[in-house]
Amino acid sequence: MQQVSDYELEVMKIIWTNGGTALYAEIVAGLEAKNNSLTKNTVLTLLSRLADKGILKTSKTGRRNIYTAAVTENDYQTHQTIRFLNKVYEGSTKGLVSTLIAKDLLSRSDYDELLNQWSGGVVADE
Amino acid sequence: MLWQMNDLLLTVLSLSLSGSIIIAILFLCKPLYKKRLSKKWHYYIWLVVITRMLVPLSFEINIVGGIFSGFSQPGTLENELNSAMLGGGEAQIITNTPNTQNTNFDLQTATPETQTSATYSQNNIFSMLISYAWLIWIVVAAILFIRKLTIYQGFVNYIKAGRVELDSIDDLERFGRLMRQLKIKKMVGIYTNSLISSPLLIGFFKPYIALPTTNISEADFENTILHELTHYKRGDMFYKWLVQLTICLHWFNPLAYLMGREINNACELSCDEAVIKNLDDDGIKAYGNTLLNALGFGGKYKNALSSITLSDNKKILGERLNMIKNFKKKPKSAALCAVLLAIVLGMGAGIAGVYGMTNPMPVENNAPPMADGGGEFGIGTTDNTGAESNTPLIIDDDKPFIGVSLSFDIPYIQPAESLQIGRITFGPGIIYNYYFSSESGNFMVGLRRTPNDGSWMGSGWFNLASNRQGQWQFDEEATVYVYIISGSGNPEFGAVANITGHIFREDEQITFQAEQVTLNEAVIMAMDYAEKRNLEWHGNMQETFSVSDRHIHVVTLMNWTGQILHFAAIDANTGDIVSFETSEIGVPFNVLGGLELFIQNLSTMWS
Repeated sequence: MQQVSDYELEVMKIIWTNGGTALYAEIVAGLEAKNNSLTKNTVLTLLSRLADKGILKTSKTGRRNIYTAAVTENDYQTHQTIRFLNKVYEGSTKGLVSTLIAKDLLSRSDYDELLNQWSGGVVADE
Repeated sequence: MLWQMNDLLLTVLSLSLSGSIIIAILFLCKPLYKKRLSKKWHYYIWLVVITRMLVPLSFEINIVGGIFSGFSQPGTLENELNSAMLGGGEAQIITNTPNTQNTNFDLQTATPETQTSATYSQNNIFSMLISYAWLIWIVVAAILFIRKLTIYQGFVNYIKAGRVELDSIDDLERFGRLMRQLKIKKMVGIYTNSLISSPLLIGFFKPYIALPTTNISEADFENTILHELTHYKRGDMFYKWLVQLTICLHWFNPLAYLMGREINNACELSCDEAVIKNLDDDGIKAYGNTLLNALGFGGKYKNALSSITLSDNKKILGERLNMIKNFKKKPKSAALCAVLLAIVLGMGAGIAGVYGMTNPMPVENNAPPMADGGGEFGIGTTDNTGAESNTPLIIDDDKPFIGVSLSFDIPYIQPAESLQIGRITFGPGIIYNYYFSSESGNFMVGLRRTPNDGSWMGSGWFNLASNRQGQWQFDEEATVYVYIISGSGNPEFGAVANITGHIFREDEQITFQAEQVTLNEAVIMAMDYAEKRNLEWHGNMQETFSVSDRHIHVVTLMNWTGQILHFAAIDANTGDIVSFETSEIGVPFNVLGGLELFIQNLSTMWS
């Protein structure tokens, strides 16, 4: 999976939030909601770049373009995390998790819950 | 088909000539309009020339068409017809004296083939070369154009390989705002490419601007982008390729190349003009500086064929800077004047014309006159002396006969013998040209009304020893048999050798132009067909019929006696031989009945 720039990711997030597909107008509205209004050509350029990278698919309904995410948000996150892990921690998950816990980015209860989930147990329903 | 193809070439040559006239006018008058008219006019006026050079349509007044009809179709259809007919030498003929006495005799040909074969083969090589001139033209044009396309594709690939996306959202936004300013709706990409020397706009379907670098001043960035986007907005790329197409089709015309260069320069100048029109004085000055700055980047790939560059030519840069320096908005009157001049030039281009395209007329439905004509056959205005009362017809031996209604080539006729040549129907009021010649001896042409009841048509006798060409015109429709009578019926005059004759409708060149296959070509096709099958024939006639809404050229090939008739039906629109029938009829020259039957069969087949 090719890397996407910050603004391209912004666009993708809007599409993901919108349920995986969006029209141009919806993307523009999404950007404006985040105080990120861009000119039309810029938005179209970002969309075209995402399509070139295979992260987005373009189809037509009538005269309007529909932009569909070719990659789910989850897949993207997984991919990016592994990439980050390999790049920064040289594949050491332990290192990553210890940083997260040490800096209080992962709370004790979150950690326990995840652990429970992975070991096949049921998530505590409190 | 060859003739038709060469017609295509003649059309192109005539387009080239009329285009050249306008190019010459534009270049010669340039000192007059250079300062007075806008650069936009300088640029778009060439569309008039290009239209003239690509579109073979013309007004009624047609200068070039007139010139071209003078030396049209340089090969000789006549020769082809002759050589085709000379093919079968040993025929038995039945001659027919005016008092209807039939005598059979074996033809003793004076073997005209031996005398003329040298000239024929020489003519054939020459006419072969001419016949294929269109092929040379089209092959060169195609090679040139394909070469341009591949060079361009290579260039596009090169630029694409080296391009880098702009990663700064600010640059993208600056670009986006300029797009909005110029009200461009479609997306235009923007990239940097360190391999190029100057900014350029490239790509037809996914156009983008490539900059050598974005490390330039705000003003330079803006001016550069405005310039390239203006090219995009005006569709200059399409214009440039239209010019390239014109140059390729008119590759033999040096003025076309000159025009190409002029358009390239005018393109840049008018683009500059369009940009600075919206700038204030400081902005104009900055724009000039941008042009100068753009020269600074030294790229490696200089080929910028038909891509749009900011400044690909240092030579015209001086002119561009001058234009920018002296730019003044032209008054309204100048704009009006420019439009008027363009219209005048456009009219001029239309009048300059094109070969063979004047006054196109719809296809005429020549329903066969099947009437037996029981009553009197009055001859309205038969012009006995031929050319005198009509416009003299200048027959060039090399010129094929357009819309031939009847052609024949007879090697030999005994003294005082007559020979039926064929039947012809004169449409009312239609001018028929005739052209007869013989190598030796005197002969006459007689017209005898149908049905063949023995009465001759009034004074329809022509002593062709003194007058071999002329025109016939009848007020009423008249169907007659044409006879060749040797030596005025006087044995003293001796035999006649190598008589050729053509009777052709003057209007048929126009009438059948809209069709795929002309009547002439149909004749050649039918003859080829018969020759390949060793069928015997010596004379031919042809007419176009409308059968079940199809235009069919029917070529009738007949032997000497008229007892064997070959009917070939050629679809005028597709050029296919749709039917070929041979019928042996006992009665000499019962062409009428045979033809009627043939047409009936066709219409039954298609109904």
